[in-house]
Amino acid sequence: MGSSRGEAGAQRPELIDDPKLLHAVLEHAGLAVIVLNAAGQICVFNRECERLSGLTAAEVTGRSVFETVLPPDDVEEIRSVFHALAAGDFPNEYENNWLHKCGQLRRIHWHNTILTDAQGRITYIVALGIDVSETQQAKAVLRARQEQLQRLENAFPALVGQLDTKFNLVFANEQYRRWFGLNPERIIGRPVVEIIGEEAFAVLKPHYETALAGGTSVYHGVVPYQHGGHRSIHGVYVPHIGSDGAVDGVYILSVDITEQEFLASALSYEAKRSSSILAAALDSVIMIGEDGIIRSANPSVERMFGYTSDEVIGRNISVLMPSPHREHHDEYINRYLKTGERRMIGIGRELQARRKDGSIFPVYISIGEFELDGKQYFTGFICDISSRKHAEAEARERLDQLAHVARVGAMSDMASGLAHEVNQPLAAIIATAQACLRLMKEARSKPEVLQRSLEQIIRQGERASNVIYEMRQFLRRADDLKREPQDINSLVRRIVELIEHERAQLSANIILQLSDEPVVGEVNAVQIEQVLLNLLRNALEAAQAVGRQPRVVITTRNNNGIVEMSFEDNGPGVPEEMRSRLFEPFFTTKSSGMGQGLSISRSLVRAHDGDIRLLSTSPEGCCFQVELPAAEGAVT
Amino acid sequence: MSTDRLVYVVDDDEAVREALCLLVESVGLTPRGYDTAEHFLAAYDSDTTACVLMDMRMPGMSGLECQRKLADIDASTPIIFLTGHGDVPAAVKALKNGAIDFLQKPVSDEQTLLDRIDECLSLHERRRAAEAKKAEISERLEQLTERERQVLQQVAAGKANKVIAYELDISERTVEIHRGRGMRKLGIRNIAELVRMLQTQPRNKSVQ
Repeated sequence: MGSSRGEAGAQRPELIDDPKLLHAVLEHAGLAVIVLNAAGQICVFNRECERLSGLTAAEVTGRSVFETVLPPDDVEEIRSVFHALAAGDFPNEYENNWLHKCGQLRRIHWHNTILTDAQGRITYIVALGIDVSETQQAKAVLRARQEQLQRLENAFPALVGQLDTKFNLVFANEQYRRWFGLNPERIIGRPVVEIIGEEAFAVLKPHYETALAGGTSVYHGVVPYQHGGHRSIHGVYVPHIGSDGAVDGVYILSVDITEQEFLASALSYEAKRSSSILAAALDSVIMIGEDGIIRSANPSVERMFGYTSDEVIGRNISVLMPSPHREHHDEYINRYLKTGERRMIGIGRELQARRKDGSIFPVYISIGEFELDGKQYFTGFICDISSRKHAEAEARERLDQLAHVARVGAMSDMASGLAHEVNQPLAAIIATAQACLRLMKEARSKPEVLQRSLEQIIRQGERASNVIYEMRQFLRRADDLKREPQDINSLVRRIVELIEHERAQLSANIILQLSDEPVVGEVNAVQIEQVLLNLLRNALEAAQAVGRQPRVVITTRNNNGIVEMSFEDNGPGVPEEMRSRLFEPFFTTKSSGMGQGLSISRSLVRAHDGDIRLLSTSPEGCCFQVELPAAEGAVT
Repeated sequence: MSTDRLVYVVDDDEAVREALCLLVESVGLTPRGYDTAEHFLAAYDSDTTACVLMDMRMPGMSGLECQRKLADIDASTPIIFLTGHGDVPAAVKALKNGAIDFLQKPVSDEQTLLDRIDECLSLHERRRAAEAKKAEISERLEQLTERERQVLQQVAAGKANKVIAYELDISERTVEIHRGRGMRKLGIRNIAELVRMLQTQPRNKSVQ
């Protein structure tokens, strides 16, 4: 090319004057060229102008620039620029919008100048424009990006900072400033060592240096800040690349994870603790989902049920239940999820469970629930109560033995009375029969007298046998300690009959105020009769001991599923100091007596899940009340 | 005076009471049944030969109390106690207080019971006869004047007319007249009769 330089220079004068060159430049320079006369009418409108306005040169030539390509709102301002040009303020630069035929605005940067005639008068105004619309847009986007980045940095849940090569802080996001509790003006431009302290700086400096050397460094650990104390941080140190492409600083992203670390360690402590508890727990702990499928099971499950954890996890919890719950457990869960009605959860119940080998055993189950990600989970704590049940049965048996001894004792107390009860009908039978024999021997017997006498003999025989039956009923061992629905009213009547002789001897008044409806309790009749007899005899003796004619009122009623019986006497009451010891064994207020009655009575009642207590007492009498659960399905 | 021989049967047990009544009836006696001692006492007639067959233990008044009540009114009707249980102290007390017997129910040998009843009735008859005689004597004694009674008492004590005259400060002749008139009033002829008659009477009636 060097060889052609002289040639080009030689051709220059002709080229400049060649109108073709001017035309080529005008049409192809990529510049907008518009020439106006002094009145503002368009004289030249090149191809770029056509592109920017969407109008053809033919359309606009001769027309005012103000009426063609400018947005109407800008016209006034541009007129003033035009007048300033005309007044000699040139050349100048100016940026304005052109309105494209399609309504789009284009931003154009103008270089304006003028042409004058020989007298120095303005002949033409020449404006050369560059379409800067795209550049403007790009700048706006960039600005928006920067703002967004700034916002992001501020909102970033991390400390974001930037150091220059000399470790001065040149940028710090809001988090960073807030974390150090410093105003931006007090930290920007300061050496970072003054902010974080020598110790922390010593720890972090190698990472800054790595970044300055162009690498990325990560630090996870404790930093001894001079003000914040020891904090766990997770920091990333990235080289900051300047506009020249060289590393001009360190970009810092760090997160204070002290609390998370603490929580995490607490969490893992908690997890370890609960898993160790679960592993060591004697109870089986089983978690299931809404579908009844077992999600987890602790080692006790294997000991209790014979299934390993792996065998049960993934199976329906119902495999651990006997019928009929086995078939219905899914319904139970669904009903609970639908109605929220709690029958098991948070209540705890004794139920039957089923081992892998099919054997059934008693368990106590309590269930807790929790929600995770919108799903319900249930945790069951299952305690094998076979041995407890066994112990309970043993205790019941011992109580029964004791109660039996007390029954025999009570019966021997009443023996002479009961002998009388048997002797009376026997005396009547014998005397009647003797009379009959005499009448017959002397042939004075009228048939109707004999008939009446025989009938009387039968009646009295039955009467005697009845007394003996009652005695034997009372003395019998409670078979299997079986409990059956019993009408408590009938038990009361039976006891009153048994004690009839004592009542008669004492001229006592026993008033029955029994509920009209049967009062049904699920009880062992023998045991409850014993309790009733004890209370009735105590009531009779109380009044007799102070020389009053005994008067006992016995009431029964069903009070919302509780069978209540009360024995009200007219004795001297229970002195304050004795009330608390009333039910202790071997405690008695009687001159003779073992002090077993109330103690055994209470044990018997409590074995029935009931209670017995002194309801009221005064020097005019006291009242004992027995409460027993009513049999399920009984009239309330 | 009724000629019936009554047996009062007092027992709160209706069956026993009726059976005993029937037994009493079967030997031709007249039973009267009562369910309490109170009812029996209210109906008790001292003017009839009778005996009481009574239960020891009854609601209300007991057999022993009833026995005491009868003694208070000088009733001489004999009592046989029946009891269902061997209450020895009560039996002793009853017998000390004059009960004739104490039998345990049931009485398997009714002949014993009936014999006892019979004995009681005879005893009551004798008692009633003695009482009747005593009543007759005291009626005659009522007819004596004060002086006649004084003289006859001294005679029964075995004193001579002379001694009596001296003690009463009257003449021997007057003593003889009182003695003769008094013996006639009492319908007796000798001193032995006089002594027997005066012995049946309580002392306060003869000595003023």
